[in-house]
Amino acid sequence: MHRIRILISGLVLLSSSLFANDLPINTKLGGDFSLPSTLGKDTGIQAFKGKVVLLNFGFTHCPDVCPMVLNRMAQVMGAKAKFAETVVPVFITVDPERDTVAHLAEYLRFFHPGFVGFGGTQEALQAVAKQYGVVVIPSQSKSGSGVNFTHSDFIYLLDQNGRVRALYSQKDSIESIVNDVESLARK
Amino acid sequence: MSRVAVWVGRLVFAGLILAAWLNAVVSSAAEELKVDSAWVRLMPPVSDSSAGYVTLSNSSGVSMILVGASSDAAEKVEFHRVEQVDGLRSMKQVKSIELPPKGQFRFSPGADHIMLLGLKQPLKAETSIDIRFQFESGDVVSVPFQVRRQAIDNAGDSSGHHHH
Repeated sequence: MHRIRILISGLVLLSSSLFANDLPINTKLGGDFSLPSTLGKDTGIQAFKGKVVLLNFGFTHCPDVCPMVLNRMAQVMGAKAKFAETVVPVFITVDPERDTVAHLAEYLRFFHPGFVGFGGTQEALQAVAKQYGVVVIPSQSKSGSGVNFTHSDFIYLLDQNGRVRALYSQKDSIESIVNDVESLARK
Repeated sequence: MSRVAVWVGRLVFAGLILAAWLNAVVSSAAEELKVDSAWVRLMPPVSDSSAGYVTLSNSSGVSMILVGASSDAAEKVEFHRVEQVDGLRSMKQVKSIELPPKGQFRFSPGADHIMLLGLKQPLKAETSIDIRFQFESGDVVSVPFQVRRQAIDNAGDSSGHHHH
């Protein structure tokens, strides 16, 4: 009886340590693509195989929300020293006309040196945004800010095989994202 | 005492009352406006725009209407509002903003913010720029904004410490 109890508590402990932070695989969103990147070549999620990816869609002519999200991604990257090796922050533009790959490289390295940016044609980027369930609505504003993009601003967590495992809104704490990234990164 | 002297006295008295009343009504915005946590976002040098945040408090008994802003650091300064519907964020320009009597208005990340468009040169960390606020009354108040990467109280920028 005693042994069984120990065995059961052992199993409970084992399963909780294995599965407590388990994140379901999102089979509806995501997938690979091939786009011009700041790595100097056309590539996609396959370039990060074996690494955890933090992914966000946005545009650089967005001085409020987008830098806020990029700062959050940088904060996650800085939370653990090993993330520099095991995690890649990725930004895909929804505004390819203004966000060339060269511009993206200049812009992104300000937030974190590990950032990889993707540009490309409007059509190709729209297809990728759709894959990830990102809604993008361009609007010509009368103000001096020019074209604006209404867009969803989730941070996507992708595992080492490029599968979407979680989406984070602005309400999710840095701490909770770091915990999830860590639980994936140790596998 | 002559009648003339009495009349002069009455006139002076009336004048004093009028002056006091005018002073109360047309008191300058600079005296009635309290400014807190004014900062502007440090952006990558390649960016030509940024956003500013501040809490403006109106200590007077009348509404203060903000109708515009300008800065030597940017070609244009506008007020913008972020609206969130179904996880989508959109931004629209706001032409005027009311500071209610004894009330305040907060420009904060992901909500209402001050857009600096056409930066004349990249902002530098640990420096400050002035933004001039124009009020409907004609008053103009210049406010120094600190250039920073993150919010001053670190509350508005990331919502990072909130748990849900």
